[in-house]
Amino acid sequence: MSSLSVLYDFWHQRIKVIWPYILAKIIQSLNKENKKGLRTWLNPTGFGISRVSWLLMRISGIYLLVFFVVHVIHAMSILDRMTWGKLLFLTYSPAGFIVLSIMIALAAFHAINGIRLMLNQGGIGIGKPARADYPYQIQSMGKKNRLCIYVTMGVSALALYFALGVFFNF
Amino acid sequence: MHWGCFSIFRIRESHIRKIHYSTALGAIGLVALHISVRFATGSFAASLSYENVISNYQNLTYALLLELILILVSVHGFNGLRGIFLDYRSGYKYEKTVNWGCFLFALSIIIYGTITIILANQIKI
Repeated sequence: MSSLSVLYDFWHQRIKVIWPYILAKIIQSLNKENKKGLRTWLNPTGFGISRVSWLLMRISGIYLLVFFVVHVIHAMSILDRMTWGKLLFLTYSPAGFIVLSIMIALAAFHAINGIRLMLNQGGIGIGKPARADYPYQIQSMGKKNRLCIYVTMGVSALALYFALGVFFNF
Repeated sequence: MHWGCFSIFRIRESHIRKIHYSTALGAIGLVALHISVRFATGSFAASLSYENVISNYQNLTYALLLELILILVSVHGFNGLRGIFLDYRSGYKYEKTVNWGCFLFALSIIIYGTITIILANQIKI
């Protein structure tokens, strides 16, 4: 028996025991009252456009981080010409082009929205503090800020269109 | 005085936020440069040919640019992931695991990428 299969058996035995426990824990956490976990995290409704931008910021961040890690690991293949060729073949596939195009669009959104958030945190564009009178208006989510989010989404959609155009030559 | 997460270095959360923003600004500029180089050398396909990529790695300025991108994006990305995990749940043990996990992942990606840059720099075509 090779050392690799011994290693595989070792981990397989453990994962077989652990995964039902992990699944039970996830189900338990989803059922707890006021602790809905990912279900609430992924639901952008009911809080306006700022909640949508918050969710998109997180999704784009995770996508970009996964892309970056895979890209760094993929770059190691440059040390061998054959491996580089094989992996380049994957990059030139339609799926590869779509992954790259989405990356460009999400990077555009993440960058522009990130700059907006930085300015907001510096006190720029969040309005002046005012007494909370009925009908309540959220000072920090004024027209300019909301417009900024819509423009950011528009720019990232344009970036997606441009990237798809470059990769697929339409 | 509240010492923030990343308590392995005892850095305050407010300082971590400044690091997060400065790495973001640095990464935006450098990644834009990195992507534009891929399209500036004729076609995207030609820029990814084996010879072209090796010559990129052997150009000291470009190698430094790649190393900087590697460090900035790793620090920014894994600090962002740490923020997401800490938003999701709390607890001393959990926070400590998340801090150390993100720190070690970022460090290993930086080491891995640096090894690639150094080894690719020594390849003879």
